Amino acid sequence: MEIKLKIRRYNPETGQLIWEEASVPFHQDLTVMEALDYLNDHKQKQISFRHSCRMGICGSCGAVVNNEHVLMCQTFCRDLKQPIVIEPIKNFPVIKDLVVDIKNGMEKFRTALPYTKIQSNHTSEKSGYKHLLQSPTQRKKIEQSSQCIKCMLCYSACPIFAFNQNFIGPAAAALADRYNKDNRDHLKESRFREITKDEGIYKCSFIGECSKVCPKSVDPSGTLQKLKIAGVFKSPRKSIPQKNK
Amino acid sequence: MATGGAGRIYGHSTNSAINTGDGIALSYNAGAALKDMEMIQFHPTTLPNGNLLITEAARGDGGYLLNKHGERFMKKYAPERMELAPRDLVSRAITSEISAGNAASGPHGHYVNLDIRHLGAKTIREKLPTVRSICLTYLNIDPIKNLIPVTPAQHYFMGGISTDLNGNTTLKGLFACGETACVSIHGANRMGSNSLAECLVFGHSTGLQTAKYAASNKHTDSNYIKSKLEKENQKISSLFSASSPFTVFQIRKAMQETMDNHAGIIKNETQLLKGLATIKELQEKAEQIRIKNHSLVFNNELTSLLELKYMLIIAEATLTSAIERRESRGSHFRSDYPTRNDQQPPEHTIINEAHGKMAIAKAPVKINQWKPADRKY
Repeated sequence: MEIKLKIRRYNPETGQLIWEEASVPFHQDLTVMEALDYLNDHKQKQISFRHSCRMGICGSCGAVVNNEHVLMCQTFCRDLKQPIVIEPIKNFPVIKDLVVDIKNGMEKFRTALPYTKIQSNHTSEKSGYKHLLQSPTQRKKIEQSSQCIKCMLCYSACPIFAFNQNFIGPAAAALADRYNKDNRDHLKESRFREITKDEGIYKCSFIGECSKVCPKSVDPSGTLQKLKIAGVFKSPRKSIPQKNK
Repeated sequence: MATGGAGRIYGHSTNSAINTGDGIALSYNAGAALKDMEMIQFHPTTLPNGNLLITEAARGDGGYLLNKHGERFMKKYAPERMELAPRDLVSRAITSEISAGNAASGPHGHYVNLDIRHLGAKTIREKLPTVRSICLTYLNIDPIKNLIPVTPAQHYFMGGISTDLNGNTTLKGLFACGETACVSIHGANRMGSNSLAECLVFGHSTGLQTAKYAASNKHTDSNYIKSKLEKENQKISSLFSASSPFTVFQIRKAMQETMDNHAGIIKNETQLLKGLATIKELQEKAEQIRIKNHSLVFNNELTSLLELKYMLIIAEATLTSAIERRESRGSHFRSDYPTRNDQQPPEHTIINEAHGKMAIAKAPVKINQWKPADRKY
C-alpha cells in the first residue's frame, strides 16, 4: 500500500513555487519525517528539510502538515488524511522547500535574557566547595517552561506574530518566565524591563494557539497572561506626558 | 571542533541524523591525530524501531530485563549487579540471548523486554517521564502497564580527536571538545551522563584556551585561506554531474550494514578485516558519486555526499584501530581475545594520516587515580 503526499516546494534560485505530489510505501510506524527521507533516498526528490534527533528533542523538523503545526518526527502517516499536505512553518521567510529562516525568532529569545549570573548560594562544610543549589520544589516551578525545544511551532501558529513581528512571541515569553522563576536567578529586574517594552509581551491577546500546538506541553499562552499582570505591577509608573501648548 | 560523534556510520544507532563525524574526519584530513577510535559504546536499551534511546535511569530506578520466557536473564551474566552491570556487559548479554533464541521477535527484529511496571505509576510519571512519553508516542504503549521492547545499538564514541585537558589537538591552533574530542576521561567505556559533564568542563577549558590562542595569534595569511577556499570550491564543483553510477543512499546503507555486521558489539579479526576491505571498496565507489542537483542553497544531496565521505573515513579508522587492539577492554570486545591484556601497561591507539594512508601508533595510558580492576559484576 502506498500513501500520497503533497509537498510545497520553493526554489530560491529560480523563484519557482510548486506543489509536488509523490507517493511512499506505507507501514504502520511511518512518520512524515521518514516519508520525506524515503523520497530523498529512493526517489532522488532532493527535498530540503531539517531534521536530526528523530524523537522530538531537537525541535528542527517543525512543519505544517494537513494544516496542523507539528514536529514531523512525531507525526504518523497512519493518523493523517491523504494526500498528506506538507508545508514549511509559517511566519518566517522560506529559504528553500521546508527550510525557513528562524533568525527573527532566535533574536526574540535573546531579548528574554535566557541565562543567569552564576553566584553560589551554599558552601559545603565538608569539602569547602561552593554550590548553586536548587531543591526539587524549586525545580518543579520551572519544570514545564524548561521543556521548550525552540522548534518555533508556537511562532508559526501565533496569529498575533503573523500580524505584528514586533511581538516578543510565545516561546520567548515562556523562556523569560522560566528564568524569572529560577531560584538561582539574579536578572529578574532587567528581564522584566526587556519583555515589557513595546516589542514585548503586551501584544498577546490570549488566543491560545501557541499552547495548543506546543509539542512539549509548555503553556506559553497562560504564562504570557501571568507575565502581563506581573509586568504591570513591576513597571514604574509613567507620568502622563504634557501636550505642547 | 565541537561537532559531536559519528554514530551514523552504524545502521543501528541512537544518534541524531547529524552525527556524521564531520569534525573528526576534517581534523584527520588536516593532520590531527585521532585516539582510541575502536572504543565505541553500545547502549543496551533502545527501541527496535529506529533505536530511540530508553534511558539507563529506567534500570537505575529498578527496571528488570526479561527474555521471551519472562526470565531475568542478567542473573546468568552478572549475578550480583544484574541489570545495573556496565553497558557493554548488558549489551553483550542481550546479544547472547538473541543468539541463544531466548529473545522475542517483531517486525523490527529481535528484542528483549524492559519491565518497569513494578516501579508504579507515580515513580514512572515523576522520574521517568521521557521514557513514558517516548513509549506512548512511538509504540502506543504505556510502560505503567506494558513491557518495553528493547535492543542494543551504537550510542557513543569514547575516541575522537586526540586532545589534552585544555582542548589542544596535535595540530597547532586546532582545538576540540565534547564527543568529537578524545581527552580520555571516559577511558574505554563511558559512564552514564558523563558526556554532559565532559561538555561542561572541557567546553569551558577549551573555550578559554581557544580564546587565549586567538588573542595572541592575530596574524592570518589571507592568501593561504583564499587558495584553500578556491580548492574547496573546485572540489565541490567537480561533484556536480548529470549522471552518477551510485547514489549516496546506496553507499551509506552498505557502509552502515558493514559496520553493524563487522564492527558491532562482539568483534573478531576475520570479520573486522572483511569489514575494512568492504569500507575501502565503498570509499572508491563514493568517489565516483556525482550530484545532479547543482544548487548551492540547502542542497541536501550535496551535504549528504560530503557527510558520507567523512563517515567512510571514520569507519576506516574504527575498523583499523579495532583490528589493532588484540584484547577486550571496556566497550571493545573481541571474541578472539576475550580478556583484558594486563601483562603489559595499557595503551592508546593513535591514528595519523601519512601519505594518504592511516598510520597506526601506540601511546601509553596515563592512569592517575583508578587502576583497571577485575571486572566481576
